[in-house]
Amino acid sequence: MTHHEQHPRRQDELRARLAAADPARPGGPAHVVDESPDVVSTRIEEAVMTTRVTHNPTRSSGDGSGARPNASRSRWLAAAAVIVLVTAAAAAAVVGGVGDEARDSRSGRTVALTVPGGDTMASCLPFDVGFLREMPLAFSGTATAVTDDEVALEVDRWYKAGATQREAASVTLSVPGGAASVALDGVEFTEGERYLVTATDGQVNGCGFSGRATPELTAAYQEAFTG
Amino acid sequence: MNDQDDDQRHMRFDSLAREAVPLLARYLRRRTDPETADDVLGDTLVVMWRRFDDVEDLPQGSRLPWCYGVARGCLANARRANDRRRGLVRRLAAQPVQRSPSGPHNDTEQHDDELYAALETLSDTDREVLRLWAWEQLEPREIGVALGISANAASIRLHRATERLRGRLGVTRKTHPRAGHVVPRQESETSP
Repeated sequence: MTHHEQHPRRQDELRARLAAADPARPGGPAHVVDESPDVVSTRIEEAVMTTRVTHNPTRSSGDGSGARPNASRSRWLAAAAVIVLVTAAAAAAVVGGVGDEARDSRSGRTVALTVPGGDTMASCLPFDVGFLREMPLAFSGTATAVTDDEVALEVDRWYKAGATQREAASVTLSVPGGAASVALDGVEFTEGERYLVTATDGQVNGCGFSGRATPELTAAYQEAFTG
Repeated sequence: MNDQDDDQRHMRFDSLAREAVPLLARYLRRRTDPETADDVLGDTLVVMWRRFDDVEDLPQGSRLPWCYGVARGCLANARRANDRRRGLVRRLAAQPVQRSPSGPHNDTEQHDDELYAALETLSDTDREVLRLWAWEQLEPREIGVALGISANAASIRLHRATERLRGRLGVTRKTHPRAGHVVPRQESETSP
C-alpha cells in the first residue's frame, strides 16, 4: 500500500475540493476555450518548422541552416532554435577565445560555463550516445544556488574533464540576459536537485545532452563515458 | 531518414500534439497570465517536437505527463526571464501577494478562500504536486513522470503535501476567517 492510498476517502474529498477550485473549470476565471483545429494545426506547424531536426548531423553542421524561425512568434520561439552543439563562432565570443572546454577560475576551483542564450540560431542534433561520448566536458552535480542569472552546481563526479578541471569542486552556469527557456529543453534548475551536464567550448549542451539526472540520462552517461 | 519517414514522424507528432495542446493550454492558464501561457505553449511544442524521439520511447500512458513536465520547465524558465526583465523578483518576494484584477482568480463567484489561503502557505513543490493531482487529474505515477521523479517518490510527495494542506486548512480556519485576498503565489507571479 502506498502512502497515497492510506486514507482513500479523505484523499478523494480533498482532491474534489481542490478540483472545485480549479481556475480552469468551466466558468472559472482561467477557463480555456479549445482552439479550433485549424489554429492548433498552425501552432503545431510553427513548432515543427522552427526546429527542423537535423537528421544527418556532422560535427560542423550547427550553423543554423536547419532553423526556420517564424517571425510572427515571440522571442521565445527564437530561443527555441538555439543550438548547443558546435556553434563555433558564438562559442568563441562567449568564452573570449579561450581554447579549453571551459574557463577555469584558478582561484576558486570553479569551472565557469555558459548556458546558450536566445540569440544563437540553429537546430538540434538528435540525441545519440556516440555524440555524448565526444563531449569534452561532462559531470554530475547538485544545484546549490539558483539565482536569476547563475546556477551553482556542486560536482560529485567528473565523467570527462581536463586535469585542472577535475580539481574543481563546483561549476557555475551563467545564463545570459536572453531567454534560455527552451535552450535546455525546458530543464529547470532547482536547488537540491541533481543534474548531468555536458559542455562544448564553454557552452552547456542542451538538446537532451544535459538535464536532470533521471535514470535514463544517467544510464546514457554511464554508457558514453564509462562503457 | 527519408521523406516518407519524415512525414510519418510528423503525423505521429501531430497526433500527440493535438491531444496535448488543449491540456497544456489549461495547465498553463492555471498557473500564469494568458500572454505568458500562449508564449510558453509555443516553447513547449518546440521542445516536444525536438525531443519527439524520446517521447516515442515512452509507454503510451507516460507521454502526456511527460508533456506536462516540459511545460512546467518552460514556464519556470519563462518566469525567471520575465522576472529578470522586469526586475520584480525582490519586490515580489518582499510583498504579500494580493489578488490581481487580471489574474486567474478575479471571479467573484464561488472561490474557496480558505483553500487558496492554505495553498499559499505551502512550498512551490507541494503546490505543484497538489495541482497536478487535482487539476490535471494525474495519478502519482504520472506526477512522477511530469516531475522527473520515481512513482514512489511522487506518491510520498503527494502524501506529504496533502497532509500539510490538511494541517494548514485547520490553521487557516482559525486564523484567517476571511482570507479571501490571497491567491497561490505562483499564479500571480506573472500576472500583468
